[in-house]
Amino acid sequence: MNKLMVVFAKEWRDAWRDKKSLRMMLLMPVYFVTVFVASSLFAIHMSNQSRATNAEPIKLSVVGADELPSLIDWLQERGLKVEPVGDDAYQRVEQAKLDYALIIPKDAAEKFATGESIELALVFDVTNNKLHGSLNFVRQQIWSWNARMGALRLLSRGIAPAIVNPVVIRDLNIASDEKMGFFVMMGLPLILILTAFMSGAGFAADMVAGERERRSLESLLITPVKSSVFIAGKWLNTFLLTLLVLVVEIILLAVAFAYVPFNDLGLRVNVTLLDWVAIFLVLVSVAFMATGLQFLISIFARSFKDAQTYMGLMIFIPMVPLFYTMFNSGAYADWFRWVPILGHQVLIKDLLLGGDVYFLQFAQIWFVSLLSGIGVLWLTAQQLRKPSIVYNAG
Amino acid sequence: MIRVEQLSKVFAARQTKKVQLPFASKTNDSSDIVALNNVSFTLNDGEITGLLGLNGAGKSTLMRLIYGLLQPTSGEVWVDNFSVSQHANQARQQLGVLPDDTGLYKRLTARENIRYFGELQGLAGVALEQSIEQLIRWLGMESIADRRAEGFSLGERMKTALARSIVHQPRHVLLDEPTNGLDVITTRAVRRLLHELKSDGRCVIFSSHLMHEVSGLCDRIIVIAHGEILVDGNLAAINDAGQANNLEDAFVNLVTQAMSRQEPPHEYKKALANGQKGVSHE
Repeated sequence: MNKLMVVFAKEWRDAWRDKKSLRMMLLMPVYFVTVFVASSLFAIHMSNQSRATNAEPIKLSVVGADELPSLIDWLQERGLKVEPVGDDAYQRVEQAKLDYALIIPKDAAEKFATGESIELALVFDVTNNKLHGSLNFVRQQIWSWNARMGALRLLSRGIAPAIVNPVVIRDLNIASDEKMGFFVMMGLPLILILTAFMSGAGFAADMVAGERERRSLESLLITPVKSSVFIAGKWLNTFLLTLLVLVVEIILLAVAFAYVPFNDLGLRVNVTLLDWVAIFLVLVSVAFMATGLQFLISIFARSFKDAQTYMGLMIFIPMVPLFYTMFNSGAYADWFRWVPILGHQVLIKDLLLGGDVYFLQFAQIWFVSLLSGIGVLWLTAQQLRKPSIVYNAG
Repeated sequence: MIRVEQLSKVFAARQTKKVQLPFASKTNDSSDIVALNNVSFTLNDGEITGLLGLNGAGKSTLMRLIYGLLQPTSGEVWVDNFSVSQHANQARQQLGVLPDDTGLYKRLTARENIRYFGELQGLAGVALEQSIEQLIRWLGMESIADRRAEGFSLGERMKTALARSIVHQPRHVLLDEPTNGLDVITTRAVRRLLHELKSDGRCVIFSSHLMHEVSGLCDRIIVIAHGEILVDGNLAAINDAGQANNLEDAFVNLVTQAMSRQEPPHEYKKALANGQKGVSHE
């Protein structure tokens, strides 16, 4: 125990003097929370905008509305507000006085009567993103009128209209604004778990692979201290530093939650202080396991750089279950709670979205985390004094 | 006292992976490397012993076996009454070792580096600080003691590493080329330190390539080549065996004779490799 404190104290001092790594580590929560807030604000903005366009009818300025009354009737029937405008519509769109306009040529009525194609012009500025929704709608309505007219003409000549339409596409868009908000919220467990998983990686690599790289490992291992004490002392450092990062991240998120209007997304987001504490408890268990894993990985690395490469691959471990549940948001089975990361994520999601949470579920994930964390640390300690680790051979 | 009994160490050679059919007989026995072959000696307290040998003769392997980071293929090492393979930590407590790798913690000062190892050895408080202070004085490290190790010169690194390896005043001191790359003043300081240790009644063993170093310091010299002891005795005995009147010539004679004799003892190797395969460490 005494020796453990010696190892811990030395590594703690060493870590706090490593200003660069500390800065990098603390940048992680700032970066994640910024991305989260930005994407939330974006989703809220999008949903506000689409609600605004749904609420009022789409306006359409038309030149020569008298030429094709049946088209105008059709468009009005479909909810468009048609406003006849003068011949200078093109110039007015150019000068941004009008958003867009439909120009029906002078000879349209005549051509319609004789059954010739009429060239309608839709004037707009493609760089104006706001218009895409409305324009699509207008275009769709013109096409469907076009199809109807064509079909009628064919029928009147005794031809089945299906003959000119080998295929028909029907769009079935299931995405809604609520869904988007849900995605943003599903990203939150991902951010939190990744932070718990990765933020200590640099220090773990430095404390294990770094010893090998700066050639101090052999001297260290000649001292009469048990391998497990070295690993435990070093691990405790990484673990505590990870917890520090998590505290920072949760404080930043709590602040973000207080100011970002999530309710605009149609989500009932009400995360209390107690919820944050509970989320922190879940993340502590993730960190316990993840820092252990970082140690096991870095003991097989020959250098700091090597360790970083392995750690980069390690990030895929939490990614797999996280992405699985992100894209199958309905998927759930009771055994999920026994799987590391997957179980943690389910619990965090429940805490964020106000699901029912029981004490037993905490016990469950803590049991899983303690077991796997201690397991990997024990394995690491077993490796430490092996000749293949100390001498790269032997 | 350090006692080495019939110590052997065989490294399984890194095999160039060849596809081997299951019924083909195994033919790569002879590619195993015998680093130490049946070595025995006893190092006495109050004596400085020099370990001489060419590169790759087995010096570092012998040292590593003594402090127990390599396990012998056969044989045993005793440090006082502790067997290294059975009670590695108790044995290590008696040892002060300056290994080949002398990396320091760059973000700690020299003093903090030394103190950390003292604490790992179980020292604390005034006794530890006194010991550190004494070593800093002996090695003339006053000017660098409270500087961070980042950017230390080779000599400064070496002195710090040396100090941290003997801060707990061990009964036995093992030094792997302690004066390597040191300037003359520092070399003298190290030499003084070794004498100091000897007069304290400690058992010192160091390996070196510097003949004048060895002949000037050592009460006893062990010459090893190809993992075997060629000669073990004082300076006069080595000169006799090498039929020369200085250590360098004697050493060169001994080693070249050994090389011409050695096209290796094939039978032994084979037997060892076959018999001990399961024990050898890779």
